[in-house]
Amino acid sequence: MQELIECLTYDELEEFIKYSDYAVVDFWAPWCAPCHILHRILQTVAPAFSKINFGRINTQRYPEAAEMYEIYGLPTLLLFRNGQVVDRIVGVVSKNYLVEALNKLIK
Amino acid sequence: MKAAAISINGLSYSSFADCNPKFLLNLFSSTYRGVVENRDSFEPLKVWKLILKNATFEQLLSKGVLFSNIPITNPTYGRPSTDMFKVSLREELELMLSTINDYSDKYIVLFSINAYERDLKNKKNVCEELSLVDNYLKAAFEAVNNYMFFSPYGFNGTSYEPYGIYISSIPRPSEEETIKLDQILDIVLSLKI
Repeated sequence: MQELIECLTYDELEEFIKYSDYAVVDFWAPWCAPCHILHRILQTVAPAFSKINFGRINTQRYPEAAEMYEIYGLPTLLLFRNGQVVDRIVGVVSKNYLVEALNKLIK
Repeated sequence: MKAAAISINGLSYSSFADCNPKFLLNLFSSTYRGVVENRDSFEPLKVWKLILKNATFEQLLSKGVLFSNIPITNPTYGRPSTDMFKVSLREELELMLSTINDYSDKYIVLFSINAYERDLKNKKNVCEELSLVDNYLKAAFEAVNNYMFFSPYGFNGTSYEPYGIYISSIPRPSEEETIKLDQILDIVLSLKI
């Protein structure tokens, strides 16, 4: 499976969001078991959404990213339109739920 | 107190997302869970030497652990053992259950399921294999008081992942850390407490 989800550093995060019309950022940590499940779901869904840039950031390595975006639980997906947060998904969700949220993002 | 630690080499949380194994997902939602992180090797010999810390069968038996079907030799190391190139996944899972039934009242049974990864390498269907594993792990869960289901790495049929699963009746050593291979034996030993 081609990896369409960019691994981001804290320094890259702001520009990634700023220069994307639509962006989804997965806030995760290696110790978080549900994060690994959600990542796989995101991997399977991402190819159908070429308008969206997908990224993920390890909050254990970059806790300042979690602080900046007020991430209180993992995994959390933040959905951005023109640099603004328009949706926040906390925890593992089904593929269908995620597809619906992404369709809403680009509508 | 009956206890068992079952390793399913290659099982990953990615396959949970792909296949929705009913029992494991239910258990995942209701008990202690974590992630095994392995940056060392995906070779069973190296992995299991790290897990067992080079202890022999007799050394661990004296500490109350009976290890079985460990894929560091062929036939596999421990008691009982199998020919790891010939045993089917179902036969291996049956052997896991009979070992638990025969020994878990006296020892902590540490059993390695190896055919799952081998079958995925041979292009068998991941979800069919996982469904079989799921059913037998449910039976193992029902046969013991304390359990730990884990994998030392993930494998999806084409590539390896440095993360394996950890689902257990006891919490992992540190909440916000992954479990390293050299911590696994200590967790196994604590299953009997």
